[in-house]
Amino acid sequence: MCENKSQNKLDQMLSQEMTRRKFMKISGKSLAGLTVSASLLSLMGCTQEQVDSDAITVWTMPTGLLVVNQAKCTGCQRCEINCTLVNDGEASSHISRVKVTRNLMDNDGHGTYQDDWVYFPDTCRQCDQPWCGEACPVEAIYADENGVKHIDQEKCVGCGACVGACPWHMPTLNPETKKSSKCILCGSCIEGCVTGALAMVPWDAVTAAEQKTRKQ
Amino acid sequence: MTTYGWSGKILRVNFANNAITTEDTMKYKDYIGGMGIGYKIIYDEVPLDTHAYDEASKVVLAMGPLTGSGVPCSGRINMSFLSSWTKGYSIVDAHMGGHIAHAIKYAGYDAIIFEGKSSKPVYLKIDDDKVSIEDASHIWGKGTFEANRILVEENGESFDAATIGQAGENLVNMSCMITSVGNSGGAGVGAIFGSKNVKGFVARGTGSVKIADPKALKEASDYMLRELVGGNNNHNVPAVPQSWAEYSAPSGSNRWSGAPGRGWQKAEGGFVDMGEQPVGDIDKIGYRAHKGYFDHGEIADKYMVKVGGCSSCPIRCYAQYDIDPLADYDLPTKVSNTCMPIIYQAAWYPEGIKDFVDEGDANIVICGAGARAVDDYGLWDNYGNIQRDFNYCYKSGILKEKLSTEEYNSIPWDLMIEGDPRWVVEIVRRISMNEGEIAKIGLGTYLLVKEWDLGQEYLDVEYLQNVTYNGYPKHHSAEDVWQTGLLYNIMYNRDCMIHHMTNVIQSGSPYEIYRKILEDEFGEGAVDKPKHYTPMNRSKAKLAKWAFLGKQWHDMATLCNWMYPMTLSPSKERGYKGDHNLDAMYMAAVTGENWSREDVDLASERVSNMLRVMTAISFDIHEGSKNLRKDHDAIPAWVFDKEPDFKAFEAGTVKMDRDDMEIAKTMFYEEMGWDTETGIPTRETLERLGLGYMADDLEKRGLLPA
Amino acid sequence: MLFGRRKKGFTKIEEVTEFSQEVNEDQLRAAEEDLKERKEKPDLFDYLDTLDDIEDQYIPLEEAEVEEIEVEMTEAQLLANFIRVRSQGATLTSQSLLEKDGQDLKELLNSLKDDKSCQDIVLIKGAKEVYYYSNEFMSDNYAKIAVLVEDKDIPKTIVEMVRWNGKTYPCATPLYYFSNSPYFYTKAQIQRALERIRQNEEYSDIGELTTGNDVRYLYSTIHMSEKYARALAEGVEYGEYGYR
Repeated sequence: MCENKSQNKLDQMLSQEMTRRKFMKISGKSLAGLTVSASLLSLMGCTQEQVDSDAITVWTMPTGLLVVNQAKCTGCQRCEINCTLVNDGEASSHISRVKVTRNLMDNDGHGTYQDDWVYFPDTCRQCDQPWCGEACPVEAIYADENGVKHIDQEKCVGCGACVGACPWHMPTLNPETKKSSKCILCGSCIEGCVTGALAMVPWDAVTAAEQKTRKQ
Repeated sequence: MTTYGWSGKILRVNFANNAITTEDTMKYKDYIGGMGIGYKIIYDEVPLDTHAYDEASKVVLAMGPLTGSGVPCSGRINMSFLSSWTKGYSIVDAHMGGHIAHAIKYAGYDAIIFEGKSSKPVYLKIDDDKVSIEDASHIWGKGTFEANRILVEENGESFDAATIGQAGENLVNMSCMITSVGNSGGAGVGAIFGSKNVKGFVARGTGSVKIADPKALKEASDYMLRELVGGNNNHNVPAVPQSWAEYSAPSGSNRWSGAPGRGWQKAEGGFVDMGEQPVGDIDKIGYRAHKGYFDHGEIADKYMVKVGGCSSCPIRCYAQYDIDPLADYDLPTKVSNTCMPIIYQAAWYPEGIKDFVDEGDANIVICGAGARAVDDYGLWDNYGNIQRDFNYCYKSGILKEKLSTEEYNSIPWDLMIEGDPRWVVEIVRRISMNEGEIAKIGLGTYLLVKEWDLGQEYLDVEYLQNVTYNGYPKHHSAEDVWQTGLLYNIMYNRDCMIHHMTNVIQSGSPYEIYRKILEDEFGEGAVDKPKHYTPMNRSKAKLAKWAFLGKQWHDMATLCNWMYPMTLSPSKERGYKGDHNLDAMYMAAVTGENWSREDVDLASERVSNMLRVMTAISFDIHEGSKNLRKDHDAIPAWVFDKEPDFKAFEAGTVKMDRDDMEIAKTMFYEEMGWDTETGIPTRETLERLGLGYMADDLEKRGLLPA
Repeated sequence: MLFGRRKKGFTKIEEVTEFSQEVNEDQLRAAEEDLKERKEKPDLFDYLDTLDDIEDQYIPLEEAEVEEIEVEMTEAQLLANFIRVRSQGATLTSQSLLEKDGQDLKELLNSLKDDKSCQDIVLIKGAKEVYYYSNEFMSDNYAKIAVLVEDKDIPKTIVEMVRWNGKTYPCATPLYYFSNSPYFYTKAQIQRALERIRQNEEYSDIGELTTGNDVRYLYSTIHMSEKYARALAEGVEYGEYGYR
């Protein structure tokens, strides 16, 4: 009985792992152009119309699927506050690993001062082949067992090469410590989001939704 | 040395000689920040006989140790300066939200002192420690929407901006400063910047606010978000029944308006349903405030894109609209505001307004046009007094009498009569551009009465809502808490901006629940049954003192007084009781110092007394008055004569009683440690608060009570 | 120096040329083009299957620790969970719904009563039905409202709520209250119900008034006078600055 359970649990984990690997293929990308099943939409807290209108982006995280819904982002900056309180022990916007302020004011013709309210939290894509890591001259950027890229604060010389190399400028040089830092998928930003614009769907739920979709 | 909470520096900018210097914030530590620092600097540096538009006049824009610290609802700025428009021309404050307070703190400054006068239009640029005065000739004459957009575009990523509109440039007393979309600071601050040729400022900060105990701060914030915070105005029960909630507010005075089936129809990708927002679910708090529905009902959903608000605040009290019927009139359709601009523009149409596309949409369309116009021109409404003055003067024939026939006939009254949204834009333009005699309405009520010789009886008219004879209206007053509300309404030199009690009374909670919570703290009889009040008592005086002091704390810390203090909670487990120790908990976590509620109260009492002393000195200088009770705290007749079908104290009335209100003042002055005859602080009180130097000043002027 | 150099946000992906191993971007773009041509939207999961696997050297699953033992749940506990999920979704669970499952419901409900972990499951009786809910997720007051709504006796619902509101808050109740969640009554339904309330002797305590801005309110004379009810209603409608 006990063995069976372990086996079941292992099977479950394997299928969740399969799911995660599948989603890694589109991590950090918009879902526009795809149909999402009703059960997954409900988990993600969004609508097909939002998917179609390019408002939804998903990110593959070790513990689940991170869904970013730009239609729901109200620009309160609590994601940045939580990020820096937890990771840096202070409150800041610039060094936050999740970035909303730079999209908030004037973001390429959108934003608060452009007569619309299009802004969204943005963060590290945890690239398989990280630009930042490859650019780092002292090999301070490494991946942990979950594939999350970290910056070794001891090794970092604060040259800013990673910031320049990242197409989205996600690593940020802290002007006070002169060290670079980036998202380590701690999840504090999601905890702080008051409208669910940042939401995490656990892998077991995504897997279940896939099975349900396949059955139909 | 690291300063926790405080950035540690105050920026001083002199626009006459372009000198930019910094000073240590810590010399003002007793005054905490915001309003406290503002009052100390104005008192020390600007003689109270200075005219608001003189070169010697200053604006002290200040934040506090909690601003930008991550504490929820800590995105506000306080600006202190001398009034250009109220009786006594004493000290006033403008309060501004948005996102720019965070930027200034992260750039390393707790406050900015604007002084001197530039010879040409300029703006201030703050880019961390690089601070410069920049040419503003290309944005002078433009509205705030365009000016702010140009400034963020030309300065670059992550810059935020705040500017004055044409009203400020043209020295219209009723003027404000605008940041984000419709976040404004009023009280005439626009014209003070205008008198200095300063269009505004931009800021970007790559630094941080240092936190002594970030773990404790995160825990306290999460505790507030899970257990204490409610909806808009911290109303602690939802407006509409929600399955997890024991109570809801059957009628429409509650501002936790987000509910299943309500939401934003113009959101990207279609309708966003605000759903239920159970206590404890942090990821749904942002759907509790649906100010659009509260202001305009069901029709609001049709035009809502999103909600917005200030940095760090989970309660998104700004409704963000795309009101497309305005496009037919070539007017901008994007509108966002939360206060008077988006609810009170129909008052510009004394003959009424009519629907546009749908039944019941007249008000939202007109308010959309008006909100955009007043915010663009940077015209401040003095909490609706500007509209009421216009409306009353039109209806009573005063306008016709005071305006020349030529001017009167030049006004497109047909637009007004037809309910055309271009009317509100036109009238706002005329006042903001200081065009013609009608622009005198922009002087503010007190000076309008003088200018047009309308007599004191004008201020006794109920419709006009003046709460004193000094030029400003009530702001959540007797209709919520009778004597208590009226007492703190008459303490300031502008509308009081205190939300302590309306947040409780209009919360939708059953009376018995909030009665117990308030009586436990302030004593028996502190708060009367809805619409059925009793004569003045000591508990009410204590309650009034608490609310009066608390508002100063919020403008010092800075925290939003629309949300704080956390008097009530939506949690049944807590018995719906909030936590009045929260502010001290935040101070301790952020600064690493020992802070108790008593410390918070003492600091608030200090600055409250500075307000009173400075008001006394100003009234002596400008009015030759040595008695604030008689000359500043006088209450217009309508407050006592309204509702002729009722007697005072009868169930169902807000009508106040003259003798009872005098008893109320006496009790309140006693609680405050003020002389009961003049309402001026005694030396003993001032010494206790470390304000002995102010007692000396009063004594020199012959104002110190014996 | 870092400012102003940001490239597009993540909803729009940059052209990638230098990293030949990063094939996903190209794949995606090709797939998007393909999509445009075919003008149809594949299901997300189907689409994922069409993409090549990418190398994932992390999480060696063999080493991942498999957590042990989930406690087996009893039938009663499963039932409790079912009711909880529905309560969380603001829905009562009627006895007849449970009976459809064809189990021995009586015994099951009895064991529910005895199970310490299921004490949050309580019942409430309606006019025709018995309903279950979890009072951990649904308040007792809301359950009362929900039962009234389920019973579909609109006059009774209106009368009971007007009385309860008058006693509890106290306040007068505007008619528009009943067009909100969870009632969602139409104007016509409310009007018909009002006519029936007026004809019913048992409901003679229910009075109606209209405020200065033409909003109709109900109140119960058991709990307040007409004059007081009017003052409360006017206070709400007039608000701080005048009629809304």
